Amino acid sequence: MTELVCAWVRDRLPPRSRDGLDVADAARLEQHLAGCADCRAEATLVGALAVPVTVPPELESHVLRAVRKQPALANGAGGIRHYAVAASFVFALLTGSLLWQQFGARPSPATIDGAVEAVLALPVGADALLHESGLQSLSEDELRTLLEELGS
Amino acid sequence: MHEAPIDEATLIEKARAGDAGALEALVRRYMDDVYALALRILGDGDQAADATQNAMINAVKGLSRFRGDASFRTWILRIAANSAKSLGRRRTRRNEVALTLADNVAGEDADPATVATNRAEAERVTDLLRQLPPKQRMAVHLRANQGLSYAEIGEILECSEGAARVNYHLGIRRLRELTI
Repeated sequence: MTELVCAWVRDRLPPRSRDGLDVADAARLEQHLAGCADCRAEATLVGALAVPVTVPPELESHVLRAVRKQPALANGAGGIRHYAVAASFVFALLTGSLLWQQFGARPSPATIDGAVEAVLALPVGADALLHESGLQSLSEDELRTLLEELGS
Repeated sequence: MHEAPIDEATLIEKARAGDAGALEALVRRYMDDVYALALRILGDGDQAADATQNAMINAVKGLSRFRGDASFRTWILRIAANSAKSLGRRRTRRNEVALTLADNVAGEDADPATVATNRAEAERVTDLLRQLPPKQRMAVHLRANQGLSYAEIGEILECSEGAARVNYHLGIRRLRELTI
């Protein structure tokens, strides 16, 4: 029975040190600690482990600077929307090209021009899928050739 | 008149929509927890700072993948644990624990006697924790220092809730043996 109470108490020592317990649990716990040297020793240890750590003062500004350089932030919400529109446009064109191969609907040169511009406008690294596919590393001519080949 | 603090769900939603201010608020909110965990894993302040930066960048990059299955705190601490472990694996010198928790205790604005006591206690705890296996050390830190539940610790350590509980209790038992 005592062991069960000790287990109940020890399971609540971390919240006792950090955020506190509700009144009933706290009273039961403190009453037990007053008479149990073993649990008191563990309470002292857990209290020492709860000592908060302070972040070095310069770290926050350092991390925020690094975070601001990330493409999603550097481009802001507009950048993300622009990217999404451009990616959708390219996807639609590539899908359309495949459909054309099946059903004979050829994309117009104007559509290809729009797709080329859209791909070139994508922020590098903004999307892993397209980045890994190599689309963003192609030159304008290479991209135009690829799209024309898909549409021819 | 103070503005009401923005709740976390709103911050996350705004950050995912590209709101830089919301994203920075999230980063600030979890900086202490991420740094404290990295410090416990790596035992070195400079490396913990690097791991914190890596973790925050990874979190920003992966924010679109946060589905809300776990709490945001659990999610970002899991990223922090992985960043710190990854950095730890890459470090080449094994004996470069120069800056320890003793240099990072809170309460520097308290009276000198309190600061001295906190430093001594933190140094003792750091030395003890270093003797635990990594999973026990992380479980003890996440439970005793950050107040997480066993279920949350299990998500961060990528183990079951039961395993998290066992790791915590084995760690505490070992620490008590070391302090006798």
